[in-house]
Amino acid sequence: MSLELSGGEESGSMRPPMEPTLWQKSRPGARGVFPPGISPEALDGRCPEQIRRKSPLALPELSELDVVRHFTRLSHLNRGVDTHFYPLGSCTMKYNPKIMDRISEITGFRDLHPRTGPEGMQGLLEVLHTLEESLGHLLGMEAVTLAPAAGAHGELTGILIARRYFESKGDRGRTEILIPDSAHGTNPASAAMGGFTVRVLPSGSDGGVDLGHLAETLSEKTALVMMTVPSTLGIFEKDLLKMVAMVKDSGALLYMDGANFNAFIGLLRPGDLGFDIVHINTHKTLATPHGGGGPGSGPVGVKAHLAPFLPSPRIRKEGERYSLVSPETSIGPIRSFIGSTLVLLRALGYLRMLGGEGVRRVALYALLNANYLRARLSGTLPRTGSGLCAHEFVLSAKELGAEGLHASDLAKEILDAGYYAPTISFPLIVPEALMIEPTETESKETLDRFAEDFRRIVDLARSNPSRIKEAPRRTPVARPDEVAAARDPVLTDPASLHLS
Amino acid sequence: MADFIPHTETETREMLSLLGLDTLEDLLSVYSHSMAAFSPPDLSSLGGGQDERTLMEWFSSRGDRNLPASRVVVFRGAGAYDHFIPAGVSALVGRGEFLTSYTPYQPEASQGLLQAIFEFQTAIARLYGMDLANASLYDGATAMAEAVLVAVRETERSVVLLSEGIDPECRSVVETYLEGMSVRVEIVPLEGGTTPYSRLAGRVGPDVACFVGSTPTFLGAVDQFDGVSDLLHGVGALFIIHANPHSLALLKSPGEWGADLASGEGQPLGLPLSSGGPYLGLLSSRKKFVRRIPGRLAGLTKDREGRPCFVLTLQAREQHIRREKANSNICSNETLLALQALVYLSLLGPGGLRRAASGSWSNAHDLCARLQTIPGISLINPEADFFHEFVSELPVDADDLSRHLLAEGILGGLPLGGLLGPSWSRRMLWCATELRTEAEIARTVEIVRLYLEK
Repeated sequence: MSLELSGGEESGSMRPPMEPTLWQKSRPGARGVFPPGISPEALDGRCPEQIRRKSPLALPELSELDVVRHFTRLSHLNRGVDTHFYPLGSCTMKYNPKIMDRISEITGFRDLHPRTGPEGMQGLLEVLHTLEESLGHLLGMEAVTLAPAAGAHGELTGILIARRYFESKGDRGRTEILIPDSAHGTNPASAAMGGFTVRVLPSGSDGGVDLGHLAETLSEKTALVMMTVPSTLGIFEKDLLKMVAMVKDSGALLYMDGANFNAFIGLLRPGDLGFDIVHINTHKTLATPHGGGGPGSGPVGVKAHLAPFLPSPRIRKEGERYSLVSPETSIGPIRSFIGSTLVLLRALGYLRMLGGEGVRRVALYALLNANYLRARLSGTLPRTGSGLCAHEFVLSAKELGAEGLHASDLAKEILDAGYYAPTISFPLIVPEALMIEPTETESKETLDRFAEDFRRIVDLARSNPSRIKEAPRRTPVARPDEVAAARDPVLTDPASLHLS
Repeated sequence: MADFIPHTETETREMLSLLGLDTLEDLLSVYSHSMAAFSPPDLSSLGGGQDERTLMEWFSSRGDRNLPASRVVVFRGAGAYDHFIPAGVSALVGRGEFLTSYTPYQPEASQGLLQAIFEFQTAIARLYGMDLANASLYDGATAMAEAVLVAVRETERSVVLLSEGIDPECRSVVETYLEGMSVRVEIVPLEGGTTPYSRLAGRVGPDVACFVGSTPTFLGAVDQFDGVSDLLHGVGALFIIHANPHSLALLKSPGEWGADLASGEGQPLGLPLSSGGPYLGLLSSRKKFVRRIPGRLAGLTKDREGRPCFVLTLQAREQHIRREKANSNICSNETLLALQALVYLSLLGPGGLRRAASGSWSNAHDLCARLQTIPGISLINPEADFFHEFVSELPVDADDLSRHLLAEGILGGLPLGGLLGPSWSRRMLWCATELRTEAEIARTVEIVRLYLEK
């Protein structure tokens, strides 16, 4: 496949031009930033021949301004919460407060070497310990680790903790993890990485876990039951407490996937509900920016009986002094160093700025916005669940199949209307799902405008489906050929192969 | 205080009214069946909220209790390196269009990041001498663990050989990741600081999934792998090299050593020390493993109108499609840090990266030579080449010297006793990057000399 990224400014196109790649822009001999150091020639051959690199570095050669324009142009071809309403269900794309950018740039944290030793890290350890305690209070858990780098990493951590817990009791027969079919794909993937067999719990007609099936599947082989609360359908299961009791009776542990914690932060605590282990995603509930795919952070809270197994190192506080310890009982480290601390600073900053009452308002307004938007969209497409929803809701575009349309087609028209798209094709149990999560930080005006546009788009889908098939028209590119991309993958720039 | 909720009271009332509710609290009926069972959580420990100024003061005062690179001269590496970072890096990476976006699920609205990921994959693949790289993993340690898992799945074998030269904490992370698998980890000892071919040849066999080497090693030596690729391939095992990307500006790449997969910690490519994270896991491989490797991949394709464009591709490897059969559970990764590394590499270019790496080499060798003029200090493994780290044998306890240096405003070499055991208590792992000046090196050596003369 050739990579002739032209300016793309063909006449009559509504599309903004694309940007050539760094290697297409590379000019042999061009120099960018001049770093401290010495010229390689000045090493005088002190770097022996047999260990020296012979192949080209093949990095692009550009001026500083070339680079600044390139990445500024790329940013214009990308949508974030700062530029667009981002109703991406399950991802909680709320506003990321700018003050937290400033906090993460405080030199005392940003430029701190992770192996400085506790005597030079007291401020950092105090901040992290404070966050552990705050999260413990919010989650109703006795101990918290901040180590996991993302939600899925938190899941793996929790699963390894469960494994170690049963081993410590001499119970090696618990080899299964039960997971609802509506769960995020990370749940079964994490279970498999932890060495467990996955048993799927099918949803009942209301989208909740079927109690009868849960009873049949639970056994002395069950180590863990993983639940998402509220479920990925945006439903807070009415039988949750019954399920919890059933799992406890079986001797298994209960894991809560806290991806949806924004729905009830400050209102209910996973620990009170009966969960033994919970992870949350700071890049969802605690407003840390997702950075186009990460960094995230996935703190895990556990009840006291699981605390000895938390990953090392642990922060210990004695009097006013903090230190790092690695208990023998720990599952061991799950990453380098102590955690994604610059992300964690933002999370703590957010909690401190809001305070207890502010946190509670977050959940209430997340509920208000989701229910308001759901009501405003009433009559457009069928929705799952009756009564009030939690912080998000799911619509099904299945009936538009008669017009030859899929949920993904609607998503493209939504992009043209000036929004990011909802999550599509998830949860898997709803055909042609559109999962919408407005978050509490969007205004009524934005929700009203989105509702009007959505209604217009669904009307258009019914009256002129071929028009929807042409969307999007205003984005930098039209629909990519994903099949061709996967058939013969081109994952690096061919232009880079010619550079020295 | 601020809660970033934009609603006016009137708007809130109008919205509730559409739902047939009187107050916000009426929304709690969603949880009524569970809330009745518990008393409402006590949120008083979170305080009453803070404004921006108070918040900044609180964090700044905690930051003041740390000893960052702006207050101490850093001669410590051991997995995290104090390199020069151009001002352009944070200016570009901090743009809201990147910072506040999600994983590029909708390619038409995410071309900027998709192209940047594609360019990052290109830069990392070229740097490591590999055919392809993914969009990032959490950090160097988890990247090594994921590379090992690729080898275990590919070979369906149960023994993993790790070089003794691997950072002991990285090794522990690999062991944690393998906890649930029926896989045994064996350590291949170093001799004179590098991997002895004969030792490895004596161990490989049809039970071995892979050997993982590290260069430079944790103790700084540039390891050499002549013949290792053929040796491993001869028994059907894979060869993985964990390499510091900064060193690759000068040193032989994993591709040149014949590795199948390469992992690395991307922090030296324009990421601040960051108190340990977020960092950047690098994973690259030969083309034949393209459907085995974990994580996001951006690929080139064409849009309907024939325009070249980028998409996330080969998603059938991933958890959201394959669930328990996925290559990995990874979802969120370190994309923004990948962008950061890419901006760094673009700003420096090949000449700048070689210049910085040469400066690191030169400064570390200068420091090493000067330290050895002090009676009682010697270099361990003197026959091994090193890049920007080396280990000194001291006539005193390394922790004591480290504390003395810190009091003088110097974050000296890492005392190794805590990590490697009491027999290492008089050894110190030093690092000097291109940022260190001749004056800083001279002063540090002088302070060590005076301390030992006491």
